[in-house]
Formats: sequence, structure tokens, C-alpha cells
Amino acid sequence: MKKLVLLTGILNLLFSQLHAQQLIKGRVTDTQGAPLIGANIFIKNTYDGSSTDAEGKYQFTTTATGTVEVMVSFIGYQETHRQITLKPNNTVDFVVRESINKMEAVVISAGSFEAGTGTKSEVLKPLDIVTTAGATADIAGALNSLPGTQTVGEEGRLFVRGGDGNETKTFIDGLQVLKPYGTTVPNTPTRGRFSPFMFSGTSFSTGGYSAEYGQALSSALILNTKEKPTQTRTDVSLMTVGTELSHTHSWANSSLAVQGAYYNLTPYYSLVKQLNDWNKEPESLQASLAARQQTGNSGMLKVYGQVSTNRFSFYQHSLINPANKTLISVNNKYAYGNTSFKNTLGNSWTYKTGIAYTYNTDTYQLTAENVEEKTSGMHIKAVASGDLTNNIALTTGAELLYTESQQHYSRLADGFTNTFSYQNPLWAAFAETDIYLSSQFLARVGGRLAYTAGSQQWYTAPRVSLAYKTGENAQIALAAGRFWQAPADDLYRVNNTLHHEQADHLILNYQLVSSKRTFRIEGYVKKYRNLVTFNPADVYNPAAYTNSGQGYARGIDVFWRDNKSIKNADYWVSYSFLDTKRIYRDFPVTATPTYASAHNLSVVYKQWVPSIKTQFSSTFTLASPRPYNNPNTTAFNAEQTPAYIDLSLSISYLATQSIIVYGSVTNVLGRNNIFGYTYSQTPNNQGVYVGQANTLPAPRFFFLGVFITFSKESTLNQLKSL
Amino acid sequence: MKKLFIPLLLSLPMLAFSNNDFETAMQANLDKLKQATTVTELQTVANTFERIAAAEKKEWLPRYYAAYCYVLMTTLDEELAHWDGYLDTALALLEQSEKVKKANKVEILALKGFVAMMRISVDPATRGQEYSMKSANYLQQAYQLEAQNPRVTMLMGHMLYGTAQFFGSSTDEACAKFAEALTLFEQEETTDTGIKPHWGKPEAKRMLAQCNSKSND
Repeated sequence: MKKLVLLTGILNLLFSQLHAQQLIKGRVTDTQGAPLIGANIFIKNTYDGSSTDAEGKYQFTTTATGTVEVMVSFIGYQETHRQITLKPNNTVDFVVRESINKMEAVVISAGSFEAGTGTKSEVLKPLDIVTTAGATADIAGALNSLPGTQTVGEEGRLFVRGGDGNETKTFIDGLQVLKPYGTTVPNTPTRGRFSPFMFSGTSFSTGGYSAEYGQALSSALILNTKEKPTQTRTDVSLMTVGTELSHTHSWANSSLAVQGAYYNLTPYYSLVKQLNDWNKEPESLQASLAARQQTGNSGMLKVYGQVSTNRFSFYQHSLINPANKTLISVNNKYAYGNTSFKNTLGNSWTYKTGIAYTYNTDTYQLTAENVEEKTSGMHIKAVASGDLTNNIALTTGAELLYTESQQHYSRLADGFTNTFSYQNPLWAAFAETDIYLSSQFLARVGGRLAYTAGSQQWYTAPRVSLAYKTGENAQIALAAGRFWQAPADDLYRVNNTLHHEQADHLILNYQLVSSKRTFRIEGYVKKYRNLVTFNPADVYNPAAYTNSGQGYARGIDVFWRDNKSIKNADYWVSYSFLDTKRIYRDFPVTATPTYASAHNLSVVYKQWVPSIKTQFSSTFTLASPRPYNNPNTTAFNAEQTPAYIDLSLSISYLATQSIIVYGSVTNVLGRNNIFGYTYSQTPNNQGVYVGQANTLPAPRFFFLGVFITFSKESTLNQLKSL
Repeated sequence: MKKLFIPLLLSLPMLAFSNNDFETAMQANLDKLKQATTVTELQTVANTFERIAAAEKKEWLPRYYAAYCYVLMTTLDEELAHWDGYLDTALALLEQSEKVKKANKVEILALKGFVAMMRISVDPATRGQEYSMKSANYLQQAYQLEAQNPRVTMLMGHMLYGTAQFFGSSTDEACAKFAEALTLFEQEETTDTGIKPHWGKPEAKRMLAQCNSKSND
């Protein structure tokens, strides 16, 4: 019995030893030595642990013995563990490394404006795009309120940092769109063919963009379509310019949306007098379809298609003798299709494949001659991206861009015809790595390599961007790169062997972004080479077209946005300074192009008034004089237009949860803005070229629309669409 | 011999976790959760839940409650810029929690609805439409699975209340939901829920009081 008691005693001693509370304490700091507050510290596979205090200190007891694994975890830091052999008292200090959280970390900011991407570099949200006064819900219209763009009031396209309108390329889900703007009459701004409602994210790059995007000398407008809609709904829009009807059906793993629109400007033009002498006002029909199919856990198939037709006819009056007029009938047919598939490979890799096709014809029928222009193109692309290591991400891919364009001219009197055309396949491959040297310092290094059959040339385009975070909200960034683009269609059609045009960008950026305020300043230098020039006296001769042009653009862009200081209000101010000269096309000497103005200022102000459920929005735009060429003088592009001034207003009223009324007017002040002058091709009897000011056909544009949503969910409306 | 085994038997359960330990640890931490009034205190409670979660891979509640702590942090932190971080963490924890076999889908969907609802407050003008749809979707799914869940009903009331306020329309429908939720909370109290989710009654009461004070204006 005694033995038994002894044995029990020993066992008890043994167990009490086992259950003795071992103390573990220490301190947790980051690599800079700063304490981590609230970090979770514990012994693996036990409940034993604690959180660090304000000094990063912790202490807890455990009943575990022997060798254990002590873990430290905290949001934003790498999980750290260490094996220790427990003694009655243990001191364990930890130094934990920051984990590179790509949402929080430094991002490439030079040259790029993000909208709706949810990242820190986001500048404009999709809602902002459509509520900007003066933009009339046009993507390019709203982006024109950002720095780096030029106010070219008669065009409607994006002119970026001294670049011509065709130097900005549009991509939808990574795939190129040809002819993204509608056909219009001279001096009437065009509109984008794609509704801003389609897109969840917009990245507007004014230079130095990723190697994934080629064939754009100045700017890439990257639009990403929405993911699968979750609600079945029907939308009806009644507008002064036409009507739109759309229906979206959503199933568990798929969705289908169909939309149709009819626009006719006859009623509007009969109410608001226009300068144009219309024979038949613009009338267009448009239909589109968007389908989404989820496959497996992460696969997403997106299909989009749009067809549209637009026709109008007008009289063009001779400048020398205005009684002489020619009827011009214009007919545009357009189709665009885009199919893409995205999926993940394993944990950290994703791949995207896609194919897009554009078809566009414009026919111009005059009394004595006809011109038909056909352009079509296909883009096939595959991209893979993923993490090579914790700190290095790779994006790589290959693509084929096939473009063909034809212009057919025929003169009725003598049956003379002439056709210019090109077919150009372009193969390209690209690779780019994002290297996080720390969560403060990111380097993006990459390049693309392309080959075109037209010039039988290889083109290499190295790109590099660096971004360094100088404070919690501040960073500086630098971007440099080489960009190539095939010559404009009208030039390339005449001479198929022309080289690509080239631009080199160098950009330095500083930005300060807090949750509701953004400040950015960006300086850049751009060098153009290989620009196509031709002799205006010999336009049908391919040999008269050469890559001997060049030019430069340099400037400073400033952006300030604040939606914090004034309650329910949001405003932004953009200023751009531009100095650019070039010799290209038919320029006899190096000169500033007619679309370029040295100073551009725009101020957008929006105020939401909850008591009357109404948002008021105004946009003020000021652009300094633009040059134009007067053939009655000897100096080229030496004359200056007056400055451009516009104040636009819009109002959105939420009548009920499903009805929105929207109205807008441009140029409230009624200023007669002059964009330049058009001169007669030959001098009149007095030997003078007769000029006419290029102005909008009406000083103001009025718009009124009612947008109605039908849905089972009462909270839905088209708020987002305005 | 009998005496020999008694201490041994008493000691053995201490060497491994029993279900009892799990519930005791959870209950102790739930008591701390009730008393937490600062973000730091909530962080400490969330950390404890996460420690329990790391050891109890087959339990869904530790991660569920850790997620709940992160959602609550938004209500105690005035800096809107921090909210998305809390909500991202909450959502990640919920996604892990729902992978556990015995996870209660209704409670997880309700909390996901709560997460989406708090996202709206960060930027109502921009996020209103997207996240109100997301939130409504989660809550609707939860409601279809279990119409009697008081938290689902209460959160639906919140969504209706916020929408009605935004559009300046009547809050009657929302207030009716709070009243319904309160009845459901009272029913829930009659059974012992143990460590299972049972939060929300004070909030339903508070909202109902707000409804009543408004109608008296």
C-alpha cells in the first residue's frame, strides 16, 4: 500500500509538472523596430496565446511542454513562426516582415487614370463618368475633364498630350476596338459607340502604359466589362434624341442581356435651329447582346456583340459661292464582336484568351462621285499572369492583329475609279514583370516585340515603370517606354510598305491620395519619330509618302479632386500645359498642330441635395487659342483662334426609386466658340481663299431623358447609368 | 489499485482538447466580446477566436465569430478608410468558415449580407447600387433557407431602412421588419443557444425605438 501511495505521489508530481503553467513573453516589432499592436501570438494547435499591447508586448501562460511552435499573425504581415523548447520562463521576441498586399502597396501610377477598378489609383468612378456635365454620358466626354487631354470641341475624340485623335486606342476586355466612335458631319462632335453602363472599370492611360497594349502612340483607353449581373431587370430610356430598351436576365451561373436603340435627331433639330443644311437628319438603329457564363469555380466566358447603322444627308455649300450646293449622303454600317474567357490555373495563375472582330463601312454619295471606305480587323490574344515568387508577378502573352482597309473612289461622269487598300497582319508577344522590391518600391519591367508583314520589320518596345511610396498616401513614379503604331488608314492605304510611327515617352509623377482627396502632378516629354509625311500635290503617288516626319510634346498635368471639404459635394480641377510641334502629313514645316492648345483647364463640380433627391452638376472648360492655317498668308499654321470657353450644366432627379429624370445643357453662356477656319480649295476672283469659321452647328446642346427600371427588387434604378 | 487510476483518469482529459474545453473557451471569449467597446478590444477577441480556429479545424464558429468581430470594428472606427480592410478580413474568414462541413449556411449568409451592407457606408453614392444588391441577395438566400432567423430579418430591416432614408420614402416596411425580428429574437431566447449565434436583439430594439420616435414627431 505504501508503494502504491508513493507511486501515486510520483505520478501526481509528474502530472503537476506537466500541467505547470509555463510563461511566455516578449515583444513583436516590424523590421523598422516599431511595435505591432494587436498582433495574434499563440502556440500552434493550442488555444494558448495572446494579443500584443500598445508597446508590442505580450505575455501568456501555457500548459504545453517540450518543443512547440510559436506563431505570430497579423493583417498585413507575413505569418511568422519559431520553434522553442519550453522552460518555466520564456522570452521570445519576434521581428515580422510586412507582407506585400497588392491592394495596399505601391502601384504604378505614372500616366494612368483608373476608374472603377477599386484600386488605390482609382481617380474617377463609373458613376462620375456619367454624371459629368457636358459629357452627356459619353466616356470620352467625361475623360476630357482629366488633365493630359486637349479640348478639341468639334471632334469628340480623345486627343492626348499633343497626340492626334487616332493615337488613342480603345480596348475592351484587353481586345482592340477599331472605329470606336460614330460617323458624324464636320464640326459636330462624335460619340463613343459603347455605353458607359457596360463597363465596371476604366483605365485611361495618358502615356507610359503596359507592354500588354500596342498600336497606340499616345494613349490607351482600357475598358473592362461588368461581371455577371445578379438581377433580372428591364430598362426603358426615353430621350430627346431617341429611345432605348434593354432587358437583362440572370440565372444562377449565367446571364443574357439584350438591348435595342433607335435614335432620330429630326424632332430635336426642328426645335433647336442648326447651321447645317440637312436633307435628312441623322437616324440610327443599334442592337447589342451581352452574355456571361460561369464555368467551374473561377471560369468566366463573356460574349458581346453590337451592330448598328446610321444614315444622314446634308447639303454642302460652296465657300466661294454659297448658292452652289452639293448633296452628300452618308451611310455607316458597324459591327463589333468580342468573346473572352478567363480562368485560373492553380492558386496563383490566371489566363485570358479572347477574340474580337470589327467591321465598319462608310459610304459617301455625292452628286458626281462616290466614296466607299471599308475597314475590318481581328484581334486574337492569349495572356497568362501570376506570381513567380511572393514578390515577383509576371504577365506574358501573344497576339495577332489583322487589319484591312479599303477606299474605293468612283466618278460618275467618266467612270473613273481608284482603289487604295492594305491588309496588314501583325504578330506580337509581350512580357512584363512587377517586382516588389519592398511594399514601398515597385518596378515594372517589360517589353513587346512585334512583326508586321507590311513593312517586313520587327519592332521592339521596351517599357519600364518605377513607383516609390514616400509616405502613407504619397508616392513618386517614373515611366519610360517606346511605342509603335501603324500609320493612319488613309496614309497606309496608299503606301503599304510604310514603317510604323514611333513615340518615346518619359513621365515623372507625384501623387497624394487620401480616401476622399487626390492630388497629382505629372510632367512628361514625348519624342515622335517616323511620322508619315506626304506631298499634298502628289497624293496618289505611294512614293510621295515617307516616314520622314518627327516631333515632340512636353508638358505638365495637374489634377486635384476633393469630395470631403463640402458636404454632399464633389469637385475636381484639371490643368494641362502643353508645348508641342511636329512635322507630319502635309505640313511644309515643323509647326504646332491645329488641335493643340497650350493651356487647358476644366473644373467639374457636383452637388447632391438629399432633400429634393437631386444632383446638380456643372463643368467649366477653358482652352487657350489653337493655331490654324490661313492660305492667304505665307506662314504655316500661324493664325490663332479665340480661346474656348464652355460652361455646361446637368441635373439628375430621382423621381422614385425606379424613375430618374435627367437634363443637361452645354454652353450655357452661349459663347460662339471657334475651332479654326475652313478655306476654299481655290482662290476666288479676287485671288483670295474664302474662309469660314468652324463652329458647332448650334451653340448649345439640350438633352432631356427619363430612365425607368422594372425589377422585382425595388431598390434598383438606373442611378448608375446617369 | 483503484486509487492509482483516479488521478490518471483525472489528468488524461487535460492532455487533449475535449468538446467541453472548446465550448468553455468559446463561451469565455463570447463574454469578452460582449464587453468589448474599442477596436483594440475587439481585435483581442478576434485574435482569440482565430487561435481557437487554428486548433479546431472542424469548427465553423470560431472563424464566424472572428468575422463578426471585424464587422463590428467598422461601427467603432470613425476612419472610413480602415473599413474595407476589416470587411475584407471578415469576408475571408467567412469563406473559410463556410467550408467546414457543419457550418450553418444561414448565419454565414446573414453575416455576408452584413458585410456588404457596411461596404455601402464607405461610399454610398458609388457603392449603393452594387452592394445593396449584393446584400439583398445574401439576405434573400438566407431567408429562403430559414425564414425564422431573427438576424436575417433584422438585417433585411436595416437594408430597407437605409434605402427608404436615401430615397426619402416611408420607413414603415423597414420598421415592420424590426418588430418581426424582435418577436423572433424573443422566441430564440426561449431555447438555449449555447455558443451558437444569438446576437442582434439590442440592435433590433434600438432600431424599433428609432422607428417609434420618428412616427411620434
